[in-house]
Amino acid sequence: MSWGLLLALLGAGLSVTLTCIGSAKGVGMVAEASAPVIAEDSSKFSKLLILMLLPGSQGLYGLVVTILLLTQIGILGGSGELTLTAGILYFLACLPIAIGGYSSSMLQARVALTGVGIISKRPQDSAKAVTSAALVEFYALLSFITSLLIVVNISNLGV
Amino acid sequence: METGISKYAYSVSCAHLYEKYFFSRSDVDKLLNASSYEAVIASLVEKGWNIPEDSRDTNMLLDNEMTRAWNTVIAYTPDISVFYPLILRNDYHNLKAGIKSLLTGFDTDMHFIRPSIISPDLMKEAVEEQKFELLPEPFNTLGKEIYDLLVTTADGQKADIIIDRKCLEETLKEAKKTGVDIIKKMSEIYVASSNIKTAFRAIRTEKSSEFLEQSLAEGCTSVDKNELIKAISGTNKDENEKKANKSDFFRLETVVTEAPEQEISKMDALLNYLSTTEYAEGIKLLSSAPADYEKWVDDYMLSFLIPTKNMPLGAEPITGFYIGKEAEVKNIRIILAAKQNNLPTDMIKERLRRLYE
Repeated sequence: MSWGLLLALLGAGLSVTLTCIGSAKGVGMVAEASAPVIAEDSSKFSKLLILMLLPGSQGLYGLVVTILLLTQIGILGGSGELTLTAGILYFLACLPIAIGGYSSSMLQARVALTGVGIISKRPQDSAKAVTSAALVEFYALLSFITSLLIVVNISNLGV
Repeated sequence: METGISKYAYSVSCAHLYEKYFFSRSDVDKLLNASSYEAVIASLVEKGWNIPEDSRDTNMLLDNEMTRAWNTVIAYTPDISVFYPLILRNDYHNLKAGIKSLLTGFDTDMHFIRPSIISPDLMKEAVEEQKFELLPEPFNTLGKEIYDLLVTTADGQKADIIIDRKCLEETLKEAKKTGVDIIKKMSEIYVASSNIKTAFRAIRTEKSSEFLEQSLAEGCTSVDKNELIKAISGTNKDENEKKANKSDFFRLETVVTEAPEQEISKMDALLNYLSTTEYAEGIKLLSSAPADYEKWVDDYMLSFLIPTKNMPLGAEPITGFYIGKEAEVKNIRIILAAKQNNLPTDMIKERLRRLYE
């Protein structure tokens, strides 16, 4: 196995691992905080479910980037040969979603937790709570799109 | 993977849910204007309070509510010991009350306060059978010491001094161990205000500086114990007299008319020193209306907690919830006492604590 391939795989691993850790922690925290609210009034479950799901999207973005990367480098249906320069580029391509995804899922979970408090006290304001948490998603999306664009276009560079 | 503050997610959510049932300003106004004690009790029932069989037993009613707050929120925190500094005083009170009740022939648990770290049943058993070894440190050695002291000398004041000082020092020590800034701050204010009250009363009752040395807790950083002792021993009398002449900060009219000259100068020294601490605003009330000072201390504590009220994680909103509940319970105690004694609304309104809202 070449050093290039090793670096690319390391990037793929990081993008999925960090985003999944962030998402698991985020979803876990929001679900934990939602439990007493649901126990008191189960009709609030649907509103809380959106808040619980929001920090989970980053894990999915990380997975998509990883699958695309594995396809590009030939691990999924190819030869799996890669130069060192290409490996470094693929590794760097994974960093936006790995770091941005992890950070945004944790921060989104914090906003979602505040939303749980809002829904428990003033359920009529649930849309505001969900919107606030969804705003953080924008930055996870930026990280995702950046990683995606780089991964898809590295092969065009001819390295 | 429970790390850092994320482990409080469930408890903070429980606290926010419970806070929905706190009394708002308009609820308190309604209670104040309630026609009778029974009408206040009916409002408490509406808010979900558990009323004991004898609804006139105010102590049990309020202890039940504090216990409910503790059991439904703080008992579910992953590390409950973080919040021990908030109720440690109840255990020291129970030890003192238990031993005194035993020696005076009353029911040992008659004056126990709840919630407490040590279960009331264990405390009762340890005191009644004088098996203090059943209690954890430092209650076992302290219990034995106090029991022996009271049996041999019957010196209740000395026993109070030993227990109260130990309680304050242990509260500071436990708070420091938690590493939670807000709990350290609450404990600091509690201990400092207790030291201030002790020094003030010591001057009023003409106690010696040795008495103060034994009574005041060590370890408080916002009020210097040595400065308090210096005030009562009068070693910096001249300096304080100069300061007092320059400032009209202190309103000592009541002291001047009632106390001898030496006492005034000691009081001057004490108040001058305290005016340089963070408690200066409350100290203005101390000489004229000690009850207002107590209210000021409670409100001052809450002023640090209200900004943390909507924090989604961490020990801060849980601490705020519990101290906010304590303030609410104090208000209900005042209102119930007023209704039982037919006191006018205006008189009790000014005694009411700030609400956690």
